[in-house]
Amino acid sequence: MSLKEATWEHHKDAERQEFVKVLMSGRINPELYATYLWNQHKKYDLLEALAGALGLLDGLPDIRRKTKIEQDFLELWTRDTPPEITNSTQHYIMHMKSIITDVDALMAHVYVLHMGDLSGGQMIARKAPGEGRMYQFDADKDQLKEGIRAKINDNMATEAQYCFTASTNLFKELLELDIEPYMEQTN
Amino acid sequence: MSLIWNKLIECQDDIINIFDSHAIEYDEPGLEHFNNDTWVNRVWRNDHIRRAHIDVVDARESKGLWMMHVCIFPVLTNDGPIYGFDVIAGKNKITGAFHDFSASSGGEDHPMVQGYKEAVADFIPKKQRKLPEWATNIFTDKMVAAGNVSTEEEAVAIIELALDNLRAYFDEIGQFTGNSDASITAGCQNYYCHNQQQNPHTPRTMKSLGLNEADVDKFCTDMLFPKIV
Repeated sequence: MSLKEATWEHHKDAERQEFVKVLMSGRINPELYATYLWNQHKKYDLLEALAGALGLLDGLPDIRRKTKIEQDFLELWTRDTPPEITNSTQHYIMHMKSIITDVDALMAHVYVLHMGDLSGGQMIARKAPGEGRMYQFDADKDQLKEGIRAKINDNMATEAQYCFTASTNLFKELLELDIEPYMEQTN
Repeated sequence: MSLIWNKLIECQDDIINIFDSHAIEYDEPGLEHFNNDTWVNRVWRNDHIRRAHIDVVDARESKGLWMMHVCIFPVLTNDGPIYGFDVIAGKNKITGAFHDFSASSGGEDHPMVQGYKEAVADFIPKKQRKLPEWATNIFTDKMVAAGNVSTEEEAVAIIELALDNLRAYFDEIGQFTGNSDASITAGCQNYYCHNQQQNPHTPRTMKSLGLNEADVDKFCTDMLFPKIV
């Protein structure tokens, strides 16, 4: 079974979450979206530091998203104190300790997160508040996707499934926060 | 006149002397921005240490506080632990002191981590306070965490412990160069830095010392715990 097939249900489960519907409505509250970005920043920052150390991002120009996510967050966040880091993000950071040296496992996360930004992320970019730098790539997106595909294998399914589940859990947690999901109607 | 501050400034001088005798001080790009009358940042390195950093904020006059951060990263082919010693003190007491040999690619079974655990055994209270997740991700279960240290005797004991362990660290770290693949150690050191960057108290404390907010945010990310990219 291919990696795509093995993670299909987990992928769909993430996409079916209410948070994704709110996001794709084009009316998500920027504060909620910024909270999502802040949690994503923590995950990408760590993943890219670990994957980069092992050379997994070599040959994937402009794949790193950390700085762009931070810029998107800073554009939208207006409070003095940073947003909440959710339990799933904390668990994700803790989990990464167990795969620091595991090339396949780290690459599985790149497949889920970065391939997601190159694919479905392009649709999110049209609906998300702000500049959406996170979804903008200077390099050719198809070439980047090919580059990622060349580094994956079918043994990465378990870790990729965990990564999708972590995203699903984050989506659930975000809607449990005391933040109105939709932005106020202006008319 | 403060006995606690005097002891800590002596400790700062001792640490600099130990760094000087074991390593070479170097200019790190960008670090000069974080040096002024009250804020000192200096770094050293040798064949086995890629970065030994001392950071002191002397806000005794303006805020009645003095803070020191010491952190040492081995070179990437060395699987030895990361040395850490942090202390913040008011005029009459050390409000917080933290010390650890945090595992890197050599893991918690590394001889230097084991040696550290034996050295600090008498300092670990039976009932330890619960640490936040970012801390448990990286610190050993024998991390020294002391607060409200108000007697000279207690302060000296902690300082001497950190200094003895620093001397031992420099004496032993060279044995472990060549033990690790650089990419694996880089990942482990990056993991340590990432978790340290999640500590909300670090920027909060530095800002409370009167340091510029933007400087503190940049400093905490780029200078205090810089990831290898």
